[in-house]
Amino acid sequence: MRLRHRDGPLTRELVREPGGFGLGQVPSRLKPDAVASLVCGFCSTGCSLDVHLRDDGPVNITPSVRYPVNQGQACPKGWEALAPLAASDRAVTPLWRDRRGRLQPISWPVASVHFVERFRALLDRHGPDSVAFLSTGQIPTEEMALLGALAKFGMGMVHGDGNTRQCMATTAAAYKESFGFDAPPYTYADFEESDVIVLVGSNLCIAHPIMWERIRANRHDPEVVVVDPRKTETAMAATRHLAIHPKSDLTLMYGLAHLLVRNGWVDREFVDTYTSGFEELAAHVEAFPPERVSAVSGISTADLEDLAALIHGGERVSFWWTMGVNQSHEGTRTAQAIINLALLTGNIGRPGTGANSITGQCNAMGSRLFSNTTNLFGGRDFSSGADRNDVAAILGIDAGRIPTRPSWSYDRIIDAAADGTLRGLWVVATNSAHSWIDQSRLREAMSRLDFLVVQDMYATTETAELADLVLPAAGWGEKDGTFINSERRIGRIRPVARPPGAAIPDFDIFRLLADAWGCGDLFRAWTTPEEVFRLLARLSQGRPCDIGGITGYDMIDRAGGIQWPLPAGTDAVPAEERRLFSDGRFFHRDGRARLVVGDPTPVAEPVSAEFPLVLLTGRASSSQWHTQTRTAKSAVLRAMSPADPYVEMAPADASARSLVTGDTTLVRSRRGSMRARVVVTPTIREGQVFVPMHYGATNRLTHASFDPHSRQPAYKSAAVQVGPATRRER
Amino acid sequence: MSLLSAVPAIGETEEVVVTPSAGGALTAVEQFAEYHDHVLAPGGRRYRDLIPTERPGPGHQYAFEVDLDACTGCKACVAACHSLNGLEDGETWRSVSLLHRGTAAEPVLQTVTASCHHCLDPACLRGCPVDAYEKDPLTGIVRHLDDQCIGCRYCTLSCPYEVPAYEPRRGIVRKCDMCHGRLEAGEAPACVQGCPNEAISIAVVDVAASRAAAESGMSVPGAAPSFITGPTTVYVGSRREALTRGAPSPEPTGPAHDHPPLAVMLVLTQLAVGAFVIGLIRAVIGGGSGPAPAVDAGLAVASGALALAASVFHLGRPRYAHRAVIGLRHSWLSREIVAFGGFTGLAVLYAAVVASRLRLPAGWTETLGWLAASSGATAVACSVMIYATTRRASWRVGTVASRFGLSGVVCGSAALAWAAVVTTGPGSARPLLVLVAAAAALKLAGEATVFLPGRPADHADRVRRARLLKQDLRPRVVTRFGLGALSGVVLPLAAVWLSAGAHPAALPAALLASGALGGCVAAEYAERSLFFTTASAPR
Repeated sequence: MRLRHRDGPLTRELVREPGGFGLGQVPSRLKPDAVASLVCGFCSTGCSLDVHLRDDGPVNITPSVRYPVNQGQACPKGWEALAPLAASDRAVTPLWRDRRGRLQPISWPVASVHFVERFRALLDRHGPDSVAFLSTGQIPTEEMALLGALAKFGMGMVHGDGNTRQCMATTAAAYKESFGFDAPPYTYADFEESDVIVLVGSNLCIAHPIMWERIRANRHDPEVVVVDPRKTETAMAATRHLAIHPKSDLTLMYGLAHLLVRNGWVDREFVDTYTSGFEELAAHVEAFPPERVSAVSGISTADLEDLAALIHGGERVSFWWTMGVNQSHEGTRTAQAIINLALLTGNIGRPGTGANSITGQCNAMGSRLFSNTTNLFGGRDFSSGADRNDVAAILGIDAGRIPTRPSWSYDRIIDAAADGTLRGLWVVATNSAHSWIDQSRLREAMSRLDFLVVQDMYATTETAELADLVLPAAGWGEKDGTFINSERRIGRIRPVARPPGAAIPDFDIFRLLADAWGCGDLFRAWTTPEEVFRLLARLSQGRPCDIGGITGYDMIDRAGGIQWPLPAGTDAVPAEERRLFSDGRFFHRDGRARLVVGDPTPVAEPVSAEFPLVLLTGRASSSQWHTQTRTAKSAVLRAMSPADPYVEMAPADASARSLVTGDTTLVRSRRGSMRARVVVTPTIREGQVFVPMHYGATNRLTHASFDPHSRQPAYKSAAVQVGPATRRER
Repeated sequence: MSLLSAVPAIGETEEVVVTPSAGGALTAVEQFAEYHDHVLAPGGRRYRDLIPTERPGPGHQYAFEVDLDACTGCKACVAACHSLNGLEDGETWRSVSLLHRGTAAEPVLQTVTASCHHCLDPACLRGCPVDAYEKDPLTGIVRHLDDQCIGCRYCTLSCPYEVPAYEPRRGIVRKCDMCHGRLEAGEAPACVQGCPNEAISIAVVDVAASRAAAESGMSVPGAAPSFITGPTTVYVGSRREALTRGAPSPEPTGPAHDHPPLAVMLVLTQLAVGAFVIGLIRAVIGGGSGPAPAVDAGLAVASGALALAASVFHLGRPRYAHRAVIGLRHSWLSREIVAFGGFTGLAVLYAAVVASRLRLPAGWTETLGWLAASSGATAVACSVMIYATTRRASWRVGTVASRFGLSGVVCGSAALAWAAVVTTGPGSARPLLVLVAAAAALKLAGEATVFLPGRPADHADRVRRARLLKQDLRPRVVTRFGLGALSGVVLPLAAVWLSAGAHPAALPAALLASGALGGCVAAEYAERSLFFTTASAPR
């Protein structure tokens, strides 16, 4: 008898062998017989993933080696991108809420009849302000374009916004006013070219790990400065960290501009030639001497002077920001204050420079250009007759079908639901009942709706659980289309799996509903995602986002993604990495960028004796995506982050409350409370607490205040208290 | 590709017919990006620098090397390992921990990626009862033999880094093999390939130097002291020093696994040995006559049989349970099994002898009894060592020995008391009932010391345990102490009181003794369950 079994069926299960397709060794039982590349459907980095196919189905994923964005790397979400498709709780049939309040399966024809009857009745009885839709940055451009066209041109809706309001509205508003168009100017190669990199409110290592990889690939030994109230993973990895007081970023930026002006470190030649508003800016920042800025931000005057000198001394300085800036009550002015620093020092249009907003969702950029929500197609204006005529001519529709007024923003849509004006809402691929700020208010508003339609991959999202009608959608990996990433790169997705049951691509849902509504004729040309892409290319012509030179999906595949713009008649093979403004010409009519300034304003909810702590929220791990609708489906991703909500506290705040790491406590605001485990850490300053955004209860605490220019919610400031939970609450 | 051509025309069975938009997609096979076998392996150019060019020579072995400055906590290594090794849903062979250190003025946040440390003296290998681990003599890679494993899970407790993990679908443990096949082919292991920051690489280390480093203290930041097993992973980086400064805060971890069959097995084996030893002492004192010795030994045997049955439920692959004696030379688990098997056999023999009233030569019966008793005691001692050698803070040898020993006294005497009350009347059970009450009170008091304030030794772990007991595990703690006090102290004393006098109340006493036995076993089970759930790897 053998005593030891070195081989056998269990051992063989883990055997690896060369996988072919340039993959190196793969598990033998998962060896692919075909490989398909598609860009990732989580964040805006836009990595390309190779899906391994075997016996008709997707079996594995590896990051694409030759794609310019990620060069063979991916974060855990990318590696695990197939898991959400195989989840057992996929919506596999339309669902209708019966009289007893339970969702019952119905057929597509019945679902579309319900949809049409209910929305039509509301429109007829209460007018166009009684219905709205909420779109998303998570579906392909072609689908969101069809949704925007169908709802606004076909169904007669005026109001539709997207969840991109929660992530990129501030940047869009800032760029539009400063540059004349919502145009992130950079390409990822700029990470590798800079000698000074300033990251404001951006935890790149966690939120965009593959962009951090690009910084690590920088061969110029760059100074990396992180401006963030918390000592984040990125702050640890940086060469300098400025732990500013929460919401003192606008003052800090003006303080830096003050020093640049005072020290004569302004690139006057660039400023005089390519910008306007310098005199106003100089006068404005006069009022922000280091002493004042230091008092507000908590950064010493010496550190301020050092940072100004660093920005001045850098040959190629790039400025980057993410949600720390965007999700603020004064985010637009803060983003513009960062843009101003780049313009003042001439750090734009050259390799390694730029005022660069890092996008959130995989297709937020597609939404900003082509969702037909806030802007008319191609960054046009609903209130402009000329723009409406343009679009009508290209699409071959009656210009009278195009609404003449802009849509309500997301917050206004929720307000209208709360006050009874809005009665019907159609939510597509977003989870408002988790992600929207101040949940008690949002849920109160949703409960007043007569009709709520949720179109999603799962009928189990917090929002779908409130729906009257659920439409089951195919997900990433089950459909065709394109995303536009942070650096304006258009990338391709394609079907590698079959949607389960009766779930179909959102594109097909919209076409089905168009027919049911009786406006299908308007969309005869919108037959396939690729045809829509060509329509969008035509709509973009002559606009800053002109992609008239992209002939079709094949060209995108061959080029490894294509950055906009690419007007017709330009190179057939575009350069892999392209940035904007190398000629110093911006998109305003006079070609000049605007130096925009405004006065800092107090936060909407300052701390008080009763609620003495500032609540910061944000992304906490690379394995959790937003409301975890998808990432929670992967057991591997779940294992990478705590299942239960937690709150990070400073040691002094914790010991004042007799709390130690691991205790269960209660975090309370004026609006609600949540249970959370305490994590005591010096990485957060006294007087602040941090709670990850991924837990359903977090937005019970947040305070619904908004940037006045972008209407983006200010998720990163609210007043809370933390105390041990009583036994009942535990 | 029939997948794509098999997609049905959407809505074709319904009234509303929509032509599929995925039209282009249906022929996507033609659009698949072109791949050729001559394309570089993932990151082929880059990873050449991250694996050694030569295989380890004598006195050397492979080791992971981690640049802590480059690790930024993205955890791609965990996912890459999972996917490139085809692991089961949710199975991970690598983990990334997060250390919060430093002061408010100088906070330190460090993510630490770790997998198997391919130790110089692997505790998994030492403890494995079936020799399912081997350390490759050339590469030093500690490999797990999946087909040899019986799924006893002892290695998941004995490894101070909690690396081996149980895979329930197959009923075995699996762990990192450093992608040895990839290394042989000149390819980087999955985690090395998957790290965007090139924080993980493979090094060839000098075993002697590794041993010296391990003996000097903390090789693995935030994890167990390295002198236990000699982990070979080399952690480098500028913050190495800062990580060891300052007392680590208690871990925020929740309860660990409670291993129900194991808890049942432990309580019942201790009951069996306790009952046998106490019964033997009674027999010796009482002259070995009457029905009591046979009943007592029979009880012990029955409990032992139940324990054996429970232990089989614990195994992932019970049909290979017989392999568990292979590791006798080094595994306390093998020794426990052998000793307990010996005890059971001898106890059966002894019970048969006393029950059948065989006339053996003088002293033989008693000697047989003592032989069985000593192998029973040896088995319990082996049980103690199984846990004590894991070096977990809550499993110090004294703690475990007193717990297991007192469990034997409490449950064993409760069982004998019950038998005595039922068979010969309450009067004869009085000394046993007093013994139950005394041992139970002593044991409960000892366990309650975890809640006492300010004992410096093991402080962090004790705070963690106290928090778990007071918060997460509260219901079980209430059961353990409430039931323990009631059935271990109150009921036995009540039975003693009832059995006083010339006309003891037989039926109530029998009920009380039954309640005491059932309650004691249940309360000890609750204690053992807390024993497992509150344990955490050594720090």
